[in-house]
Amino acid sequence: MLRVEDINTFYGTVQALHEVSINVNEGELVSLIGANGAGKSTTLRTISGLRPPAKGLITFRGERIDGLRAYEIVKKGIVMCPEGRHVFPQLTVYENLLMGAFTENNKQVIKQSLERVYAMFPILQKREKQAAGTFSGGEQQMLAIARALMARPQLLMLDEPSLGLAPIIIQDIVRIILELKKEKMTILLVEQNAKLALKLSDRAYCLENGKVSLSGSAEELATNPRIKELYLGG
Amino acid sequence: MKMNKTTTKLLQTIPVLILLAVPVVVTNNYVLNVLIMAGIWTLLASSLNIMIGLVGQLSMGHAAFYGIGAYISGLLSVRLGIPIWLGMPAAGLATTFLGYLIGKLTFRVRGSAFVLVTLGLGEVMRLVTNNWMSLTNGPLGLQGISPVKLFGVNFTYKHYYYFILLLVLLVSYIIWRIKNSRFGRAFIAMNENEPLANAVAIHSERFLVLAFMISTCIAGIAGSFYAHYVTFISPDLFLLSNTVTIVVMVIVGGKGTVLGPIVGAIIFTLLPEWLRAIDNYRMLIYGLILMFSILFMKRGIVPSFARIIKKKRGALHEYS
Repeated sequence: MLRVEDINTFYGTVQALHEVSINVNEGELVSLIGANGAGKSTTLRTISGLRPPAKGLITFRGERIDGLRAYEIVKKGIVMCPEGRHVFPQLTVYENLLMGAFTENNKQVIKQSLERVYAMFPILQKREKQAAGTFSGGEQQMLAIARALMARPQLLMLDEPSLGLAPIIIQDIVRIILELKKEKMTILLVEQNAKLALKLSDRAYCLENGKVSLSGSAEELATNPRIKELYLGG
Repeated sequence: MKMNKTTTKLLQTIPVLILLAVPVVVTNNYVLNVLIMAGIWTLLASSLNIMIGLVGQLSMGHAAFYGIGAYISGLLSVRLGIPIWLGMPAAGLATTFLGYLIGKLTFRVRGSAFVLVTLGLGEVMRLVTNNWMSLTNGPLGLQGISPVKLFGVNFTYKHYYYFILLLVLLVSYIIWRIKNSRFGRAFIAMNENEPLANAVAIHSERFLVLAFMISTCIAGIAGSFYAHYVTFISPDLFLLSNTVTIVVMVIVGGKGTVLGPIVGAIIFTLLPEWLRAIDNYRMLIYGLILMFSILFMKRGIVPSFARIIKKKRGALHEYS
């Protein structure tokens, strides 16, 4: 469904990605693991058009999407939930969710998406009118995921959904990711918590210094001695 | 809930009724003139608020669009005898188009480009109008712009007052509608977090250009009104100090709110008039008020008072 081939991405003169190639098939949950600064988030930013690649090819359902602008890529069905649980703090929960469905003009469709999201996150409905800035970190993360779902993604990209959250809240996030997986949503997950990521995903790529160092099924990686040593704590 | 709605509606109508009644009570032309000028500044501050308050871009050339609107309307009147009823739409359209061009060019390259280009525009326009003697009459200014006339009635202060009040109400309503629409949410979203706004498919450039076009259109219309009200315009309209005054009105009044720029415009039009009596200390007091309002009401007068009222109602914890 998504093919990323040999992309190079730069921040100024610093090369963040070296010939990164990844593949996501329909209905799969694929994760990118690796240390801080390995290029996981940059890969997502490159796919979503926020940081276009200098070289390489990205296709989505056979159609070339590298070089498209961020808003055009969202319209193609690739929706990113950025790192750091970004919400629009001054807008209410309801308005934040509407922003997620920004490209949708059909009110009926928006209403359906809203009902679906509220069913998944009942707390959001309860606090519909509250400004998102007053939420706790975990609630903001849920809102951020919910907002991404409002766009009815065909490919959902989650960037560090567990980052900085209390274990009990992470459980909630995990429950939601599993629920989405059950619904056959295609997900590309970036996680520093390799243990968690490998537990959830079908396949995974390990990034090191901007290069893919290892890839395979989640079980393969989880039992790989190198991964065990570096990321799973022996 | 319903009770609440009707009371807020009432609270909103009362000021409008008071404003409508003003010329009935006040017959002093000087007072009406000050109020009309406050109306013009309100249009300018409200339109700049779209840029500063909603999308978060500092335009330093607002007086340029005001002046261009005034000159277009004024020249059409003096050279071709075209009345305000055609001159005003022409001024609005021209400044909208100019806003489109400048927005399209500068919002592509971010950073300071927009601030610098808008800043430069005012100065360029001042030099052009100063030196193009054959067209604009240069520093002597353009005289003899026709006053407003409707159905054979020559406008007096009272009529001008109602005319500007109508424009102010219309513009305030439009901004209120924008703020509470899909566009307004996109504006606020871009202001708060642009990469994230892009990530939810907001084409930020397009919305910035759109916001700027609305803003410059209103400024052009304000300029047209000024030209036909005062019937004399000069290159001084393009002075940077005019832009700065508008920026101050927006910031001190409360950027991002509908009411803030109105309050700011009224205060900073009335204040210099009241302070005329103590001529020498005028700018001193003006400066002190500016300093205090920035020190103690960081977000502006209107948001600060709204906060106090909300605190009294005990609803602050929900919105803080």
